[in-house]
Amino acid sequence: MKKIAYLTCFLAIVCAVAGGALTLVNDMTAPIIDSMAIEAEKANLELIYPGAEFSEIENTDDSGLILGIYEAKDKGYVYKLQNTGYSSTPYQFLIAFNLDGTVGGYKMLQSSETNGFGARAWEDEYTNTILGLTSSDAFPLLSGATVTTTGVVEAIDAAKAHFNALQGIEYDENAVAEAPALATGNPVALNSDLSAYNAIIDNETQDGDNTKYTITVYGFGLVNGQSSEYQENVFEVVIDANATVDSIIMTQFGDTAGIGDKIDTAEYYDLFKGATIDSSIDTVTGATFTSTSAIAAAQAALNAAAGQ
Amino acid sequence: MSKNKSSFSKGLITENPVFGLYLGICSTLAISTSLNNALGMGVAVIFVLTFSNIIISMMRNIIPNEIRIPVYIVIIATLVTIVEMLIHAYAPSLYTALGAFISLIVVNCIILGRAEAFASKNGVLASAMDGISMGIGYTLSLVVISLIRQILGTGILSLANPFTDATIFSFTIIPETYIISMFKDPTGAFLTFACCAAALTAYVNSKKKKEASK
Repeated sequence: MKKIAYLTCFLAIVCAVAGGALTLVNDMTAPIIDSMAIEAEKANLELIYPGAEFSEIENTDDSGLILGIYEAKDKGYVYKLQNTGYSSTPYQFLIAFNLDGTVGGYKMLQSSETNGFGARAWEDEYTNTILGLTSSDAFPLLSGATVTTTGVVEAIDAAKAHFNALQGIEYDENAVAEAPALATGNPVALNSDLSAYNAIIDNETQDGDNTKYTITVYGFGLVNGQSSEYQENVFEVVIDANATVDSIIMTQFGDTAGIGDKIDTAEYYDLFKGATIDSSIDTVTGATFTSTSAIAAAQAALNAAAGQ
Repeated sequence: MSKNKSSFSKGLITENPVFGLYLGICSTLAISTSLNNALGMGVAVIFVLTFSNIIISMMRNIIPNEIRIPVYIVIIATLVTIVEMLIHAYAPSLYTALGAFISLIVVNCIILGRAEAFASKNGVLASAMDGISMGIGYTLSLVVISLIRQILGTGILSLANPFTDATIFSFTIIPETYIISMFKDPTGAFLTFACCAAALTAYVNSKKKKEASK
């Protein structure tokens, strides 16, 4: 018994001395290590709150979307966020909330998203939308950059949850940004290169002055090389005597149900009415590829009509 | 003193911990991709090995035999954690490059091996010498493997100051077309290690033969 007590005490003393030594070294190095972490991030944080005094606060997020949380003294909080969009390389960006809850800044740090599509999540149009919101608002998606902005909003939601809990702000975390019945934007010119959609005219019938073209065109899956899971989309495009689009309808749908078929509305097809080869037509938010396939079909019909 | 001297030189060649005793190979293979890593890891191991040998040698008469291994581990782990915090604070790029292998010095068998086999039975000075010589032996092995791997794998021999990241020197030795990128991978590490270990064994054997024939 005495022996065990002696051994225990001996080991305890050794551990206590070791702990003391570690505390000493930790007190010496911890401030340097902390300031280095801030220093590495400071150039980015300065983009949002120039000249502010930054300190890193504990990241309690378990979603993996928040990489770091920094307090800018008397100004607000900056969240470094990460998520994956279309590219397999994740993008990183900063969002800052001022102390009153308004968005204080929104900056991309790194992104491999496609130019003209996902990369628009960091261009003026979307940035200005974000900058006008507060931490209790639902953040909207961007037409033509749906996959990317879905990830952006998901990451911002994680930041919002943390910020609102910190500041005691109550909000509806399940709110979804109200999208118009058919959100369109990101227009595509009818004379742009849409050869990737491989529009092929299957049939052509004359009806008075109008010509009706049946056109098979690649949609989301085929443009992206996933031929096993997707089929072509087929459109009927009617071109009138003035070489403008009279009407367009979809007769076969080969893309993702519930996503691409959003375009299948009279409201969207009306956008094509009167279009010439020099017109541009909006794409549908969340159905960019399918709506572009409709534009490619209209382009093929207009070109065929002009060729006559 | 001659005993100290011989215990110093044996760690470098005949009892070289890596090529002779095959100790601490895991970290050797993993971090020997560049001269910078090799020297950084080497210095960390020399520090831990020397101080753990000194402390254990000083305490050798009071440490109860039953709990000597736990006590060694506490001492070694404390020293390693101190080294880790210092590297993190003052040489952050080295800290990033070495990653988990700094903490893994705790379980590097060279250190516990020397504590048990040497420091617990010998005086402070001899133990310090043993620590320094084994540490330098380990560092030399790392440097040899990393030189071969860095030159064959990248064609460039370079060294940077770990505290400022400023390049001290950088030579292109092999044009990019002729580099063998396999040497950057674990395969290259194993090949290099095997050749070096075989060379050392051959040297030690021929020396023994010569002595026997005398």
